Amino acid sequence: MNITRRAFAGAAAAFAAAGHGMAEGTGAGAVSGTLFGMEKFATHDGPGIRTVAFLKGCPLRCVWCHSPESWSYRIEKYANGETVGWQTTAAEVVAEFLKDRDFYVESGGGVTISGGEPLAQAEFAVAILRLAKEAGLHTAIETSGFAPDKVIQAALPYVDLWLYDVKELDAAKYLQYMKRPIAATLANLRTVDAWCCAKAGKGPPSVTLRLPMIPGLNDDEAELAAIGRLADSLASVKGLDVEPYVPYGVDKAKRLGLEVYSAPRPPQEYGEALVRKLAALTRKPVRLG
Amino acid sequence: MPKIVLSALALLTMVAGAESVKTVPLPQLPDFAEVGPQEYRPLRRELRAYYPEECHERMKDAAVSNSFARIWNDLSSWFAAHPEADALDVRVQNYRLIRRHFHPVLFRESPFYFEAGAAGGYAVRYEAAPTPGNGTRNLCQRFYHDRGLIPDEEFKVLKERSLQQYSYICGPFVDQIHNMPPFKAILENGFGGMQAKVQATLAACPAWDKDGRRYLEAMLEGFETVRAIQQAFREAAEARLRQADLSARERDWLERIVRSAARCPWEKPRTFFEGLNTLWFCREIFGYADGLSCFSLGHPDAWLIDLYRQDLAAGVLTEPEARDLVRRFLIQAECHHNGFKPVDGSVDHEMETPITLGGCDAQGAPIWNELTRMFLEEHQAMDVVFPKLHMRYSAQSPKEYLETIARMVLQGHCVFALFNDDVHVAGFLKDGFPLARARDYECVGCWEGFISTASDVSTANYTSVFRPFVAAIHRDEAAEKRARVTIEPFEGCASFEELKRRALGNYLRYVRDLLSCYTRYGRLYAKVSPRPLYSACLDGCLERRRDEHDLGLSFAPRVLTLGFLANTVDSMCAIEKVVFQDRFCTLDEMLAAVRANWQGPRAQAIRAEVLKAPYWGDNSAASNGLMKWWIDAISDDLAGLSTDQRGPCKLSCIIYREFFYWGERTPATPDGRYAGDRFAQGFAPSEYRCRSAITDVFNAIGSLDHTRLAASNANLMFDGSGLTPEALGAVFRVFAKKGAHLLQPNSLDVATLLDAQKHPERHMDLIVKACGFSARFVALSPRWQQEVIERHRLK
Repeated sequence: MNITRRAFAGAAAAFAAAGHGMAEGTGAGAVSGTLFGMEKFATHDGPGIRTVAFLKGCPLRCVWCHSPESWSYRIEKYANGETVGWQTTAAEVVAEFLKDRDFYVESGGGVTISGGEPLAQAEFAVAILRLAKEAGLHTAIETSGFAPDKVIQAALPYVDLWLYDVKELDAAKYLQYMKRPIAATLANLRTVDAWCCAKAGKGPPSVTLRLPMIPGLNDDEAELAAIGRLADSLASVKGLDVEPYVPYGVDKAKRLGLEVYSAPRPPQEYGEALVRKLAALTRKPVRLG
Repeated sequence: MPKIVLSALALLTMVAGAESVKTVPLPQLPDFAEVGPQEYRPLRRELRAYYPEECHERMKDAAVSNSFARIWNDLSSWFAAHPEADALDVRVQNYRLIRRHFHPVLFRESPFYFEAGAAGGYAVRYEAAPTPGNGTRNLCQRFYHDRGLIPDEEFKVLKERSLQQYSYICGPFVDQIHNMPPFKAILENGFGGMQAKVQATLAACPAWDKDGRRYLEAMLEGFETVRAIQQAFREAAEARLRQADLSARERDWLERIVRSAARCPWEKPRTFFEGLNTLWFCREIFGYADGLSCFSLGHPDAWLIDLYRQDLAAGVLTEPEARDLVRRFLIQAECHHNGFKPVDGSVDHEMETPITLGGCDAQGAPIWNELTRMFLEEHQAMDVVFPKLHMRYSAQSPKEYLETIARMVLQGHCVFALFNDDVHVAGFLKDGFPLARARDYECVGCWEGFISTASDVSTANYTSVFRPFVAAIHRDEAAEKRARVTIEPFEGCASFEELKRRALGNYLRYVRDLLSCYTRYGRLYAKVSPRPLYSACLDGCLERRRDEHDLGLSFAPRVLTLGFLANTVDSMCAIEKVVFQDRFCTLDEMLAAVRANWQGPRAQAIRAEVLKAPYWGDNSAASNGLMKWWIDAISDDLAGLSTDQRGPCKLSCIIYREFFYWGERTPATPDGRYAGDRFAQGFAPSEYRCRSAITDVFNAIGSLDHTRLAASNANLMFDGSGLTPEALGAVFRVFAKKGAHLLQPNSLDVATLLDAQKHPERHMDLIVKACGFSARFVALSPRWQQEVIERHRLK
C-alpha cells in the first residue's frame, strides 16, 4: 500500500528519538529527494516482510513500463488532480522504515528501495541505504543498473541484496525498448558481482536477476540462452526471478498524457513455462517472481 | 458471544439483531453429512441424523425428547405442589428426576459415552421440555417478580438498553450461557474425588450453618446424579452388547465402554480414551445437570499427553488408533449442527466449543507435542470447522508450530484464534494466581482466557462506547428515558476537550448505572438457578459452602467489554480535525451533515474532509492517543470498583457479531459512516476507512497498554497473496510482541473469495473467520461474504 506524505509528519523526530542521533538538517539524514510511493508489508521485493520506498525519476523509457508515473523527477498531477510524488528526506524515509522493524526481524525481511530508477537520485538513494544499514536493517535495491560507476561504487557498501533488472541482453533491442544503451548496465553488473564476490562467505551481499518478460518482445530462445549464460558467469547471482508482463502502466500513462506498450496480461502458464525453459539454461535457481 | 432468547420471561429477550434478518438468496449446498473423508461419512450421517440443524434446538431422537419431557413434567408438578420451595429445593428435586429419567445415547460409529441430548447445556430454547438442568431456572425465574427480588422496571430497562444497542448481557444481570466445565478438577480427582471433598467439608461444617450444610448436601445430590448417569451409560452398553447385529468394532467399543464406565469419570481417567471421553462427558453433563452452557472442550495436548504416551508405551494404544479417536472426537463437534445451514441473522454458528492447543507447560516450556500435531492435522484432514481451535502461543513459540498454523490459514482453513500467552499469563499473575497456574490457562468461548476451576465465564457484559456517543448527536429523549440514560448533547461544545469530556461522561454515567444494577441483582441468580454440582468444583465455593453466584467463588471478575471504540475514535478524530483544527466547518454544520446521512453537497464536502482525518489503525499520534485516552479514562474511573461478586471489574475490547447487526441499525456517524454501515470489530480498524498496511494496524495496537485489559481481539483479514507460511508465522510473532491478546487471522486472496462466490462447488472446504466464529465461506449469506471480502482489502 502506498502511504502519503502525511504519514511522514514528525518522522525525523521519531528517528532521532529512536536513538539514531540523526537530527534533521545534518548529514545523510538531511539529504532530500522525491518519492512517489511507499509499500509496507511487501513480500515480493526481497526476502521476508519488507518496506519498499519508490524513488521518483528514471532515465530509461522502457516501452512496457508498469509505473510511468515514476519517469519524471518532478512532483506532478494526474488528470483528476491527484498528486504524484512528495518531497522528503532520507531521515524521514528511514524513520518510516523503522516503524516496522519487528516485522523485518521476525520474518528475515528488511527494506528495499525501488523506483523509477532509485540510483537516478543518487545522493538520496545512497543516504537512505546508508542510514538503513546503520540502523541494522537488511537492505535491498531494485535497479536497472543504469547509473554512473561512481554511484554504483557509493551504493555498494550499503546494499545487502541487488535485485538487478535484466530487461534485454541484445544491445540493439535494449536501445530500442529502453531508449538507452546497455553498456553501463552490464558493466555495473560486473562491478556489483565483483564486490559481492569479494565479500562472499559472510551472507550478503548477493544478486538476484529480475527478468521482466514481455511476450513477443524479449522472451525468445536466444534471449533466454543469453540470460542463462550471464547468470552462470556471475558468482554472486543467487537466483533469477521471472516477472511476466503486467499491463499496470497503461492506465496510469494515459492519466499523465503518456503512452506505454499495451497487451493482455499473459496467463499463469506463460510464466511457468519460462521458468522451466530458463531452469534448463542455467545452474542458478529460477522462480516465478 | 451468541445471542440468547429467554422465553420464560419475555421481558428478558435480549435482542442482538435477529429482527433485522433479511431474506437472502443462497447457493444450493450438498448434505452436510456427505463431506470429508469417505471413511468417516457413516459417523457424520449418524450424528447428523441425531443432532438438530442448530445447536440450541431439540435433538431429533424421540427417546431423548421424551426423557426431557418426563423430567420437566415431573419437576413442574412437584414445583406446583411445593409453593414454599426455594430454588435449591427445586434443584435437588431436579437432580433426583434426572436420575430417574435419564436416557443415555450411544452411537454406533462413535466410541465415546457422554451424549445426553443437552448440546453442552445450550439447548435452552424449547420451553416445553427444556434441557433438564435448565428446568430449575425456567421454573424459579418467576421468583424475581413473585418474591420481589428484582423490580419489573429493571427488566424493562435492561431490555430497552439491549434494544437500543447500549449493551447486552446473555441473560438478566448474569451471562447465562457461557460457562467453562471444571476439567482440571475432574481430570485430577474424578467426580468421586470431588464428592469426597464435599463429604469431608460437610462433616466439618458447623451445625449452626444450616444454609451451608444444605448447600453441601445439594452438592452431594449432584454427584450422585453424575454417578447414576455414568452407570446408565454402562448399562446401555451392556444392553447393546446383547444385540445380535454388532460388528466386531462395535463390540470392541461397547466392551470398552462397559469397562471404562464402571469407574470413569467417577474415578479419574487412566487411558487416553478415557481422557478424551472425560472432556466430552464434562462438557455435556455439567450442561445437562446444572443448566450451564459449556464453552470449552479443554486443553487436550497439555492435559492428556501423559496418558497418550503411557498408553503407547504400554502397548494398549497405537498411533493410528489414537488418530481415529481424535478424528471421531472432532467430528462429534462438527456435526452438532448443520454447517451448511446459511449463516445469517440469528443462526447460531458458533455453539460448538473450542479446544485449546499449544501454549506452555507449568515450567514455561512450549507445548508442541504429538497431540498438538495430531489435532491440527486431523482437524484439517477431516475438513471440520468445529471445534474451534484456540491456539495459545507467544513470541517465543517454536517456529514450526506457528508456521504450521500459518500454512493452514493460507490454505483456507481459517479456524484459529491465537491467544498471546505473554499478555494473558501476565494478567493472571496480576490477578494473584501463581505462575504455574497462570501458565495453565484455557481458552474458552469466543476469545476468553480463563484458568480452569478458578472462575466462571459468566461475567461478560457487552457495552457500546459508541452508542452514547451517537445518542449525543441523534437525540431521542423518550428513548433515552426508557433506557434510563442521561445524555449530554454535543451542541455548544466550544472546544474539542469539552466534547471529549461530554463523550466520556455520557458513557461513564451509563456504565456506572449498568454496573450498579449488576451489583444489586447479579448474585440473585443463585436464588433462581443454583448450581451445586458445578460450584463444588470451583475454587472457593466448597470452603465457603456457597453457590458460585452467591459469593462462593474466590475470584469473580466482571468483564466489561468496550464495544466499537474504533468507530468512536474515528469519529472524534474527524471532529477534531475538520471542526476544531482545520475549521472546515462548524460543529453545528458537522452534526447537521451527520444527521442528514451525509446527503447534500455541503454534507458531502464535509464527509470528504472527514475521510482525510486520522483514523484508528493508521498508527498516527492522534488516533493512537485517543484510543489510549478512552481506555485509560474508563479504566481509571472503574478502578477499585467492587462488583456483585466482590471481584474486580475488568475491561476488554471485544465484540461479537453486533458490529454487523448493530451497525445496520445505527444512523450516520461522524467517522463518515452512512446509516446502516457496519462497525469495526474489536481492535481491528473500520474496514471502509482503513487504507493502512497491516503493519500500521499492528503498530497502532502495539501502542496501547494491554495490561489494562482482560481481553481484546483483532479480527484481521489481510490479503494473503504472496504470503508464505514463514512470513505469516512472523506476523503472528510480531502480534505477540506488540502485547495484544488475541488475533483471529484470515489470509486469503480476494480473487479466491470472489471465485468462491461464483463457484461455491469448488470451494466447499474454504473456511473463514467471520468474527467469534468460523464458517464455510460458501455457507455465509451474501452480505456476510461481502463483509469478509471487504476486510481482505487490508494489505
